[in-house]
Amino acid sequence: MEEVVARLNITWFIAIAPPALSFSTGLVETVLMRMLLDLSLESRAISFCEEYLKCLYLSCKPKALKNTYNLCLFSMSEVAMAVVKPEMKSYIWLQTVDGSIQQVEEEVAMFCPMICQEVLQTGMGSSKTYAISLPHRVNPAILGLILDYCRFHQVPGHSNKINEYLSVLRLKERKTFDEKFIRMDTKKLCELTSAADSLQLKPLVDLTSRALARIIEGKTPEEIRETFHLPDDLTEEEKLEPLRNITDDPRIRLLNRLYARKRKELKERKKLKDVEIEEEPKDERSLEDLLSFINGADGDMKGTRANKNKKKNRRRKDQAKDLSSKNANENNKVRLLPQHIRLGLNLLPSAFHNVNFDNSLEASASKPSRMQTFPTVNFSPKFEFIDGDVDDDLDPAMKEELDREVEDFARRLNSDWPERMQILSLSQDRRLGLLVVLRYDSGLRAKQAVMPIIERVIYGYRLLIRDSEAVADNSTSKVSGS
Amino acid sequence: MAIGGSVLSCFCLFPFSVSRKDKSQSSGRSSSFRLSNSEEVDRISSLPDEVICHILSFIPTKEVVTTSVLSTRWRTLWTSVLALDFEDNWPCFFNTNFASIVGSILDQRRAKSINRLCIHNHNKSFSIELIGTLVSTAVAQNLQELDLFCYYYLEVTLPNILFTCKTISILKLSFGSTINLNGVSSIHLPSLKVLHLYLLYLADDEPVMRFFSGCPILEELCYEEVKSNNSTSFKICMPLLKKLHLKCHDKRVQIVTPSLEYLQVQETKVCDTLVCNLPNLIKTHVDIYFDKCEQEYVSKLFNGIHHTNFLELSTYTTEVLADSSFGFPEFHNLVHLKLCLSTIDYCFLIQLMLTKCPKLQILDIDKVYEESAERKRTLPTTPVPKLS
Repeated sequence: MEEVVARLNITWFIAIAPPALSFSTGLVETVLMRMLLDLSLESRAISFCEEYLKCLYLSCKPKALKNTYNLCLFSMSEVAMAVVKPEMKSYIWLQTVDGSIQQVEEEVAMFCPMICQEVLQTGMGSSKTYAISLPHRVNPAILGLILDYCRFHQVPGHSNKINEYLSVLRLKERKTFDEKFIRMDTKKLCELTSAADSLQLKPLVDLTSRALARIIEGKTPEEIRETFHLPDDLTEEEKLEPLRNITDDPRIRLLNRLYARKRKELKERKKLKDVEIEEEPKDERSLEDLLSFINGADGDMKGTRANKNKKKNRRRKDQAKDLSSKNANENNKVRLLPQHIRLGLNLLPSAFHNVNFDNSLEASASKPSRMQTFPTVNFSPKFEFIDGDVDDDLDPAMKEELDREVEDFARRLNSDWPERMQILSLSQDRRLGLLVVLRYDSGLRAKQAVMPIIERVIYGYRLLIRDSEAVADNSTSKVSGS
Repeated sequence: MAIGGSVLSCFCLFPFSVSRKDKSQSSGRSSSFRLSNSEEVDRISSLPDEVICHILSFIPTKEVVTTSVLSTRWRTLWTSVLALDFEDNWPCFFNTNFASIVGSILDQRRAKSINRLCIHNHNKSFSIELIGTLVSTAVAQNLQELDLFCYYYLEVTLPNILFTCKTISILKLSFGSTINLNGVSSIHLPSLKVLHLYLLYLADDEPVMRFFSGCPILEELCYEEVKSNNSTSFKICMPLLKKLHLKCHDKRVQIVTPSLEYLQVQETKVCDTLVCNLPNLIKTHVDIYFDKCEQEYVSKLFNGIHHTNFLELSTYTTEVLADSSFGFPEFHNLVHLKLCLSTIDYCFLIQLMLTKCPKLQILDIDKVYEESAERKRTLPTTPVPKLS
């Protein structure tokens, strides 16, 4: 190869035209092209051509050979056109946001739909004064990259089928070009995507998007944040929280108001009973311990962190289903009830009547439901909290019903022993879970407000269990006092 | 759904994943080390929402949902992504019902259309009903690309609504089991351009014929390893078909596709393949088996493909061709010839081919020995007669 190059005229070596036609990096190809463009050197060019091709053939370089052959075919048959072409080449003037203006070959620039549109519709870009101003997302460095891409990918027309096939072979080179092209740092890649998008250059947008997708894929959120320098502006709780309904759904607002009202009512009721509560021995143990006592060794209770986890309607029903199926075999009257205790303020009618939890999934499939959280901390499967924005229609009629239910529940909490016994036995027969839902508010105060209520209920059930064999009357007097 | 990132990081990727999975993470990682000062501006946030959603549409849905913990802007960005990609390695948390996870993802999405639905599944997490529901939902939301690659079931019935979908343009089905098409009353897919049927069993051929006739603008058909109980002949007659990839052992196939540009025929018997004249053919890969006595079929085949620009003959083909002599037509457009040869002496064949291909420019010889594969390439540029 070197001796071939050495035989060339030095002047030709210097005056190398921009490699508009060739896409290979061989210097000799460009020199050859230059030579072929000059009619006076035609004979010399042809002989050089033949010798060069022989070299390539012997050195087994199929790509270069094919390129050169194609080049020769093109040049020798259309050498007149080739000579004329450089002068006739038209340029389009582009101006970037920083004011710098550059000129670009027309076919390269027209590869961008946005520029094409500008030229066709407004006729701009034909001279320096009427340069097309590019969107602000395109800075000069990125413009250079985009033009490289366009230059490579814009395809001249084909005269016959053979050339068409050879251009199809170029597809592989395009892929290698693309792969090399896309190797840049993430910051530049983002800029390139942004610029390509503003110029509506869809193939480049696809290419850069896929590259960015490859970068994002398989990384943990921390790694992604580090790569793209995203601000870490979500609190811990927000990260664990299921997504809230951001659109201002009137039903959600209504529900929140309802909750606030319920909470207030229960607080007042609790205040009335405060005196009575004081008489009882203060149970210092945490909630979970109580439940674990009730349930025996079942379950895995952790500390108050469990309270932070929220569950949704469906999740609760799932759990209920799981638990009920898990414990169905245990024909233990005492154990069944407490495991279905979930305390809360909102009692949905469906919960009461939903004997068959298996259907709950299909039923709620029609209602909009929220995502479930998958907490990385331990949580209590027996004790579930539900967030405020529970689904289900909440029109005024429903609201009334809910009011009634809550009243009912409150009444039951304070009712006499026989009444309670009746209710519980009823529920045992139907294997109902007394589904009650507790609304969790971030803040200790709310929890403190609600805890006593929960404790009271738990305590009540504890008594129930303890005294289930004992004389009913004795328990009644005790319980009614609390 | 806020899945702890650490939980996800231990999942390995699905082995049959498409090529987009080969990551060039090194560039991303090294840049993050270089630009580690905290004043670096976040570039990706300057991209508009649609572009980010476009980027996220190339990533499996599981990871897309994870992006909701990245920052405030990203919390709901994932709900507008137009692609659903359920790979095989969804985690199961606390016995949660997988269908409910999928359901809640669908409910949370704010986008009104699903451009792409891709389910690659090898275990029990996707029941047929769930697939059916997902497909129906997606079809109702202007599905454009469907890619089902599921291997667990004995028999699959897809919802009828899929077969009358007006928007779908790419359909790829691969089940490894019987697909029941008998209940489908009519098949009309006006936008379907790409159809891949891979590794399916059919009760008989008639539904497939209906399938083909229901796709008027089909451009690419990949029909591999589809077996049916009645091995009768069938005709692939599609006026606009450009790409055909055929691999079926036990059928008689008649190919009548005048616009065909790319043909790949594998492991088919030559007497079973009738190729009509294909004037626009550009690339042909021929890998068929035949006996020496079936020469007329061979010449019929080659007559049909003699307009091609590129021809590749596999070892099967060349072995038998080498020993026989029969009328090759002239390949007047052939520019690139690739022969896969084994140990037999092929001089005669090569010479024969070279005389029949006047415009040959690239001759690619792939010689495969038993122990090692040796590639030898010779590239004549001068007209063929000079070589001999």
